[in-house]
Amino acid sequence: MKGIWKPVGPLLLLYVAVMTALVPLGPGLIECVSEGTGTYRVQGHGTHFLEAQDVQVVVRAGDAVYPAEDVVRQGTDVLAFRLALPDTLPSRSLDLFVLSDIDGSLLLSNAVFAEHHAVDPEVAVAEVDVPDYAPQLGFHFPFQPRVEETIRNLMWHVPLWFSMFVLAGIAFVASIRQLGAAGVTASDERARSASAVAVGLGVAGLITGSIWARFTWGTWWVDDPQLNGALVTTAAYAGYHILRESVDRPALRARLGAVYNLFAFVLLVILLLIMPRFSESLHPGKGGNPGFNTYDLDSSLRLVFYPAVLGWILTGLWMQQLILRMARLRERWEHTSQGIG
Amino acid sequence: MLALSESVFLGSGKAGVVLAVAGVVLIGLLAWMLWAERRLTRLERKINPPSNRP
Amino acid sequence: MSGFLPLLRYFVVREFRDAHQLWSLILFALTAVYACYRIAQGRVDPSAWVTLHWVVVLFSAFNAAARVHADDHAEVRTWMRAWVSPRTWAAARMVHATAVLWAVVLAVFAGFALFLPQPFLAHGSGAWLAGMAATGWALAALLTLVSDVALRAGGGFGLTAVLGLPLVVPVVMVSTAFCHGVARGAPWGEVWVYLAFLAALAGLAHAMAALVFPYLWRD
Repeated sequence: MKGIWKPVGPLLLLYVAVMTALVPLGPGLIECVSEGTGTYRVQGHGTHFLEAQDVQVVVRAGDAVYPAEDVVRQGTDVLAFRLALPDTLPSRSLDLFVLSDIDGSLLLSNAVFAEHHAVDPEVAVAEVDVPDYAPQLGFHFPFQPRVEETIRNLMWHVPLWFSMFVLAGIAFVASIRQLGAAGVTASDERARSASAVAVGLGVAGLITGSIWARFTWGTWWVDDPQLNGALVTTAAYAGYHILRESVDRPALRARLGAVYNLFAFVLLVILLLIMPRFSESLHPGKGGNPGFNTYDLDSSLRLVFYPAVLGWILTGLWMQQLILRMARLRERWEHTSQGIG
Repeated sequence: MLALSESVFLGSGKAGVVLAVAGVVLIGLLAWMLWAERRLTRLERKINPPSNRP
Repeated sequence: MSGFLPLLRYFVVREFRDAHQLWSLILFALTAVYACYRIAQGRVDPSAWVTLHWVVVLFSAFNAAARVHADDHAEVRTWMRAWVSPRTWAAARMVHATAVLWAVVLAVFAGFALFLPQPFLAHGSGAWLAGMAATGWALAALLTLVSDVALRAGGGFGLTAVLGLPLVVPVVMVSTAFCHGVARGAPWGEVWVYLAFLAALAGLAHAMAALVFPYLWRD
């Protein structure tokens, strides 16, 4: 049945919306604050300190592990503890681990800085028994430092860009076909409709990205290669439409549009696929930042992310088809009203 | 499976704004697409009725 | 590529015959430099110096690209098709545009060195000029492509700018990284890769011109 694929995209997006809203975030540690005289307070997110039967805190410097003392559960997401560290440590910067039978092992890197201690990387360390708790949690999204609850935006922001790539690719192929033909062909309108949707998806991607940046990096815009590349690529595709509107003759419009579409696609490849690999970026997976798959050991994100990608691609294709059909009908009406064909 | 009560996202109250905005945008978009699909199909059938198709 | 050298010779002769066009470009560039000098009140740190230098070069490049020559008119182009291929024309035009932009870039550099001298120029002038030469080549090649599309669409400077600004962003990003590196005294081993990238972008523009110009001229 023709068109049976069309509702699949929106249905997938509905599934994604429900999952994104309802799936809880896994537990994690946000910050560790020194309260003086060796006492510290650690703030968690989504943790179950009060419900757990056993909660232990250790700090680690290199291979040395030092257990905390007097661990007090001040709330379901707040712990207080005291550290009695030796005078000499392998490193002044210590990682913090909170081990609980419900949350498993939670890590906060470089949580404690022992500024008054001496450093000796070869210092002898005592063996410490550390419990290995497996988390007893339901289905959840992984906790990532700094990203926290905004990880839900992964299901919108990234699939929008994937979908834009697909639509831009369709426009690119259609433009090549248009160049190879004489006069105006169906490929011209296909390229135009695909580029229109690509611009819309690009703008949506920029908005979701900007909102995400505000919460994770503290500002609406940063000088990041991928952000800059995304903005410029969207501007280039917008320029394609401006160029088309500047030309009256259909054959010339089709040809110039096809040429510029080729430039825009090459620009997309350079700015979004090539240059980010060679530069420092705040984006996950680039410039030394861990990618999302580094933490996604139970694939909880993939169960929602991949359907989101497919959902947006199918929805984008449906939008492109609608715009294409509107253009064909309009052209047919114009021909008919002018008494042509 | 979905522990609603454990979700900090929903418990914080900020989720409501996010969901409302996202919901309005998505539902509006899909509603337009459905309306356009039905309108276009009707017009296409009018221009080229099924009996005329080879 | 027959006809390349005669065509290039024609472009150069025409440039000197209508020297006022070239001088107007250089005058625009120098007055822009002087305006920067007044705005900065004669004092500017290396990072701001690089920024101002680059902005003047960028707008001078767009000015140069938006010029309309005799062979841009449809009638002349129709006649030219009889003795030169679109690819040859594109190659010659890009080489000519590069030479013009090099002249402008040299003028901008001289102006900044005169009005707003920087300490790093004592040792880094060679590297700076090499970077600006590569930048000029990449900008000229890309903007020749864009200006031809804009001209065929009946647009002028405005449309060239709208279409061209997104496309020159990779050149902006790579060139400014090189320039800031030279300004802070980075060793040649650290910055040469940016020059290679600029050359690659220019090469890509030449390749795209060879690909699309036959279609642009089809009428």
